Amino acid sequence: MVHRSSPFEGLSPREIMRREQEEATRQPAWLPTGTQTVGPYFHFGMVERGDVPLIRGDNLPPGQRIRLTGAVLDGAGAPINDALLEIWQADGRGRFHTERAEPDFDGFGRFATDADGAFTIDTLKPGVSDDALPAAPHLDVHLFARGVLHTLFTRIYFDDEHNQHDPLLAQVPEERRDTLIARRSTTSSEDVVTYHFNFYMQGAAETVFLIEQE
Amino acid sequence: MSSLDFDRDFDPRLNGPVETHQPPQVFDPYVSTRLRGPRNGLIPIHSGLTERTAPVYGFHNIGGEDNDLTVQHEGTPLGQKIIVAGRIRDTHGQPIPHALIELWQANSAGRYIHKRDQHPAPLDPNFTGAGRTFADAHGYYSFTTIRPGAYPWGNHYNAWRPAHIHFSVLGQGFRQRLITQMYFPDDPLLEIDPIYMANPDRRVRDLLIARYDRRFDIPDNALGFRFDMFLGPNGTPLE
Ligand SMILES: [Fe+2]
Repeated sequence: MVHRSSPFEGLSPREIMRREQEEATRQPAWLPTGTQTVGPYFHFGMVERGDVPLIRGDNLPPGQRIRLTGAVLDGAGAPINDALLEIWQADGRGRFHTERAEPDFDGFGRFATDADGAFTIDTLKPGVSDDALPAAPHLDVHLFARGVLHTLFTRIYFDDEHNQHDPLLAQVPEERRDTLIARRSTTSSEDVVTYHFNFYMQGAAETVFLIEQE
Repeated sequence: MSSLDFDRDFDPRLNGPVETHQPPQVFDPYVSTRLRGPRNGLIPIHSGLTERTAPVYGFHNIGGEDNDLTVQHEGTPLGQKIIVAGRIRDTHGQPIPHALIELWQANSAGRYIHKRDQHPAPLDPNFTGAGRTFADAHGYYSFTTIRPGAYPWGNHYNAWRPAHIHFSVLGQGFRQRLITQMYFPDDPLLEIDPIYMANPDRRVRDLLIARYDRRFDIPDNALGFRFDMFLGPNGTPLE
């Protein structure tokens, strides 16, 4: 279709914006876009074909297969059946797959809770990752839900690892660190080790959520 | 009365000391937050490598039509066709290249295709309401869609959400992350919406409203709206 009346004839919105002049002066800071709740209807936008699994095929890096099960519970102990967990982790050697799109495992996944507020995350147990100090094996987690206004962020550690020297966990008040540690299940098999972890949004065992500081 | 004043310079630049720009965890008028918002404050930490890294997002196999929600079915969806375009930058003004942007929305009648949406407005067989795209190397993105309708929800008597589009943005590190909603200018429902109003800073609320921008119009076909988003710099806090 020809739009003869438009001075931007034939240009896409991206092309139009590209032609804008750069800001005359570099501004020191801009307001961050406000966060809003994901609402109850995110599934068809973010997990359209079901969860985005971490294990997507057989071509996997080395690592122990694990299954993390649990639930997301509100302040009354009721299951939250419309929460979404977004996971990012290192592989079994502690390496982050940041270089190219990998079809079978790149350390990123999304898991929506079911009618009982429950989730099952099949993955590889992350290794110790290099940082300024070695970081104990952990999963990074975003938790989204209706009624959650922030992008909530935390880490999940494992109770059969050496967590006492982890540089991030050391910054969490000691009496609340337990809320970030998954418990190894006695029903674990040789092939798949099972862990359990609940998110408590409120209450005595309220899960610690984190925010970066300068 | 609109909460957006078009007469003054609409400028997102910070013009005062940094304050809390994000909503509280519990905002009483939004009933669902009462049992779901953590009561303890967020624990401040210095983050590590995990928070600063991210995969090359490939899991969606994004196709050429995934950013045009009006061509995903055999027929044309009902409603007003719009362009939603903008730029993804960090709060230092640096563009965030190749961010993964996902959106989802109700149709022009205010009905989601989601199975849990029981609002008795009609579904549109020619409209799903989900799209995704990557920002380009300069942070620019563009969607073609239908202007969504307002819809009622159960928060309080005769509660209506203002027309909105849900956005998810994944940047260059796992913590360079945004979930938000985009609104439309001159909507009288905004200032009585507990979700929109949960953000305490009026300037931040204003920036959730797209601007009508004639340059993005497709003449005689679609109206253009601009919606820019600003994420925290990778590896530093959002606030
Ligand atoms: Fe919505």
